[in-house]
Amino acid sequence: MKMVFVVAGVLALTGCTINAPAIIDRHTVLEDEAAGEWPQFEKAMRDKSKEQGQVFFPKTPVTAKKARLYNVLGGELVEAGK
Amino acid sequence: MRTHVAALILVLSLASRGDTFLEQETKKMNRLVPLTKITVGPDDQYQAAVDSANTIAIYTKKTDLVPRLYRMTLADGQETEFLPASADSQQAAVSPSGLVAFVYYKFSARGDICYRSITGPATEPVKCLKTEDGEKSSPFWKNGDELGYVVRDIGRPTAKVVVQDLKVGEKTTALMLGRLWSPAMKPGGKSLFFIEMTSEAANVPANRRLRMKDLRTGDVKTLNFPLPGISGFPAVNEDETYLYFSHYLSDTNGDGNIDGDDNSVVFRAPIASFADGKPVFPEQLTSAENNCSFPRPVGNQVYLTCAYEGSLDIYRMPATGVVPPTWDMAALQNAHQTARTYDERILLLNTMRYRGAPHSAERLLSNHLMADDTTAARFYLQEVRAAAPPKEKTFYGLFDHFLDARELRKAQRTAEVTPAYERDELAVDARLAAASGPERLKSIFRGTIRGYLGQTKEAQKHLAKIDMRGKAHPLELHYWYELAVLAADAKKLDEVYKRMLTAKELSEESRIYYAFRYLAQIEKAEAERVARLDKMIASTEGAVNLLLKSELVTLKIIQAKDAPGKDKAYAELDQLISQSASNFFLRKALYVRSILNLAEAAEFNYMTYVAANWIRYTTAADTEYANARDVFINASLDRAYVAYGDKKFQTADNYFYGSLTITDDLESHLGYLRSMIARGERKTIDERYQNLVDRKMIGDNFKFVQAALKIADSQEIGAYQEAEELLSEMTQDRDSPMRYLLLGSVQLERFLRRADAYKIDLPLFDKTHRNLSLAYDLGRDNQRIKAAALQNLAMLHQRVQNHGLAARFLQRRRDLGFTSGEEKAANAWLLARSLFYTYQPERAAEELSRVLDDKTLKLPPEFLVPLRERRAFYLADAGKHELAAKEYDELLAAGAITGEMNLAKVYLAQGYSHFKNKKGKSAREAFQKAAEQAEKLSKIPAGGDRLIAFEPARLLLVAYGFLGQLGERADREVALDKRKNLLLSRRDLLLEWRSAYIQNRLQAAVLAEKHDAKLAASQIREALDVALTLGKDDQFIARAVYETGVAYLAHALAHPELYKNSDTEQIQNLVNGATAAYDQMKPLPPEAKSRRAKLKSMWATYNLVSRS
Repeated sequence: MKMVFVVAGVLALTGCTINAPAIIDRHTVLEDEAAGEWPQFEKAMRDKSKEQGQVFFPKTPVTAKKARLYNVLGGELVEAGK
Repeated sequence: MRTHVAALILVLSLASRGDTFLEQETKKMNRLVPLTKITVGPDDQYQAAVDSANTIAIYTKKTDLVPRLYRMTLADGQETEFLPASADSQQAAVSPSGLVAFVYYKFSARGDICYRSITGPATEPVKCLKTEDGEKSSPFWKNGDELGYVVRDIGRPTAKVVVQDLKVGEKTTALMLGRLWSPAMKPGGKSLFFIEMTSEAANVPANRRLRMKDLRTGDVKTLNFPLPGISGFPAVNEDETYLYFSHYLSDTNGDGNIDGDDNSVVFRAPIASFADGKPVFPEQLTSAENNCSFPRPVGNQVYLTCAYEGSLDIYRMPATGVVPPTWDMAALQNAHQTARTYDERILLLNTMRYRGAPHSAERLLSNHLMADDTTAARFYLQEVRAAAPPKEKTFYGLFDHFLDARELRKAQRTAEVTPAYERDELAVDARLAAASGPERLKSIFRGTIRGYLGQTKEAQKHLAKIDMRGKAHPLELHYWYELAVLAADAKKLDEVYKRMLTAKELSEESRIYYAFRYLAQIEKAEAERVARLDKMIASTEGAVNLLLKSELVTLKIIQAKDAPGKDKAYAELDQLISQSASNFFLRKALYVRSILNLAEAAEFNYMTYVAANWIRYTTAADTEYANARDVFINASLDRAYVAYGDKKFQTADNYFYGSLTITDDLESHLGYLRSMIARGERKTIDERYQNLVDRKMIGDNFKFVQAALKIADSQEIGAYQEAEELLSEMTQDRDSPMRYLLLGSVQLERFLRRADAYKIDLPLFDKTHRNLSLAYDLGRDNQRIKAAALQNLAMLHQRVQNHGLAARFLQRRRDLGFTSGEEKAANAWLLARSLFYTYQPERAAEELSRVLDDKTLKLPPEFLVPLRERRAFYLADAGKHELAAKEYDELLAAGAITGEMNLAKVYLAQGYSHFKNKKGKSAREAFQKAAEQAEKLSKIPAGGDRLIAFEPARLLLVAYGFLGQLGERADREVALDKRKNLLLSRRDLLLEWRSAYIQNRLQAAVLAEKHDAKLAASQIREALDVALTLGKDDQFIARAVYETGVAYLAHALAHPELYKNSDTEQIQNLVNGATAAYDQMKPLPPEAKSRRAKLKSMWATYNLVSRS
């Protein structure tokens, strides 16, 4: 199962694309040969992953920026009139 | 709804002020100017040099400890390599004509000073100066033709600043000698600035000086700035009126020294002010919090390198700094009042001083002490003591000893009291005991030292001795209070608080501050909280009393059992808020305490009312407005997100709408759109926004709303293009992380759709990466934005097979949590793939187990089979064959795997796992089924997300390979024959089909040998023919060649009769070729040495036998 193969030729170079590698790595071949393909599930996973905006977490921890807003500083410790 | 209504009333009451109200309000906000981020992480990027047209920046990027120069077009943020990756480079300096000088390590490990044009490609040849020996650094342009730099003597601290005329070459002129670095001047200018070391000793304060040499007269002056700390990295503006420099003002890392390891701030000073040699107080341009250095003024802007958002990055700010130059003294006082950190206060105090306000060393001393910045505090302490009346000098003298003790404490990285630390603290204690000064202050400090040492009883003894009745200095009161916090019991602590909360010596702001701390302190004493609060209320008056009462009322809201009870209590709080309206410090403390208490108790309604009050009582001209606005957004959004999570979309959209109508905040806009769409009110959105547009309550940000609606309404690629255009045109909130996030997300969608196998749109990839990285960096403090940016960055990098980075992004995303089980499963699915691709298959399987084993996720049943199948695949790759085989057996037995392609693949993987488990029969059955299924399949070409063509022939090749090793001889021979034929007919399937073919022929020969030695000999000859072709291609050292040689010679020795007619020349060529190839390997690895010896000895034996 551990094999490497050659892509026939190098894909055409165009202005805005990068060329394909001449040798495909072992993992790509292995996945192609022995891992199941689940197009609908894969699409569902991608759709769940792509974020077109913020993630709607109901609660988030207090961040440094938020804590800074609520920071109350001590008054300057100087005698009156100085 | 109350917030919603309050927000609308507020907006409508203010709407008459301008044409586009919210834009104007936002622009009008008085606040410190935020720094504009130019570069984005994760690598460190620093020391920008920018051309005089302010269009191109050259800067150093350090990746894996390797520094290299990069170029960025400032208009669009496009980054390119400035020099080839073959050598390190750094320290760019741009000449007025657009030449870039830099240190280049291509030709010498010590570096050369080289230069080339700013616009040319990375491959443009560079010119390097011919220079004398030494370590070269810090190039600068003396003028358009003369290039200066530092040459440091090797192994010595001395250096010289020299200049070389590029037209003449080689000959250099020395401008300065000494222990110096960082030279800087305006090209064609009159003066050279540099840093010179005045003392080698680390414990000598300010052992470095910023100096100026007049190039016409040769005079050298030391620039004297009355500031604590040391200066560095000078830079001169274009008309040579201002000197900009970094300054290490305070001991931010707490090591007791101010040096280059501390946070830096940027200052500037008029160069004309140096003429008389007197001390010059410079203008502070940044706060220590931002940790900025390497200023480079260009036009009316300054480029900086700052480190406060995770990595070193290039930023930009106005040449006048972050404090608006239009602020008068009242505005500065206002900003000082509303500051949130001591560093910000120090910046504002220094600005006031620069702009003519009387200098107050006491105020600076107080701020540095409160910031626990002992080294800078000592600087101002000396000034205060020098100016104090004789009888007060000993009072300040005791502080010197206390600061020693405090520095020792800060130097301890753990709470452990080591014998050495105890000895040193006790030595300070002894010095304090012997010092002259007020006994009360001595006891405070000596008690504190005992507290540091964990000697609570000793500390309490000191505390008990202290009589704080009568007048006390505010500093004395503060440190007495700190001692009590360190050592006192609750009863004593309440006594101390009572004194602090009623101390006439303190400003009201200070009393409120201690009351605020008191409230935080008694939070922990849950049972006694109300009783202690009641008692303290009875002992106090004025603002402090009102703050304490408001805490009690807030607790009433929380404890009330029903809405009417809560509303009644809130009405009381509302009244107290009204009473506090004119007292900023009281109002702020009251708001903060109420919001924190209500948030903790999840009373989001009332929390939002308080936040609405905060912004209602704050005008846009007030520097507090930006803070109040942020508080309001946070409170509204917290409430909205909770409602959204509970699927109460109407409540959610109310709060989002309430927030957006006051703040025009992009996150609120998108939240509102999402909530409205979730409850099926898409049409109402158009009406609402038309109304906002008509009332001019939304302007430029409407483009953001339109873009979001485009992609919500249509999944067509055109919608994404239009959305991208709208977002790119935005000006008002251009630097908002939300804009970058939506823009990057839209681009990601376009990028993924355009990608075709390995062909990708590289410029689009770069833009997407940059925008999502900016969303991540600028949204660092917003977990919701950060999570989205990380997820999208991961998808982008996974698509281009950059799995290492994708895995890092996905792991960080995972750590932030998920809003649903499906989201978690999606993250695990992607993360597992990237882990597999980065040689971590076991961790990949673990990631999938995390979601498969977590029953609380309630994943849909259709998710389980793909997740289990892929886990088995990763387990097999990780060598966990028993687990993998079990999973495959279960899935196949249950009929969960369907379709010819999946059956072929899964049987193949199942067979492999059984084969590895030495279960030959099961393995053979699986491989046979895999082959049966594969024979039914056709090739699927690469394209879209399919990176490579699916070739069923490859599956057959693998299956036949294994079947050749399993079962009865005849079956194995058939399989080997099929594999041989496939190898010959599809030579394109493998990178080197010949090795596989030789292996196949030798396997066949082993099988044939037992029943037909002649057939075996012919198979070995087939291998020999192909092995020689490998040799012709310079591959004599290939293992297949060696194995062919050994097999041939061994078989020929055993069956000489079968080889009599064979061509001895062929095997001789193989042996000679392989031996020669091994001989060329230097050094010869042990395995190759052994192969060489074996071949030679077998050849010698073969020769001997064949001659006889």
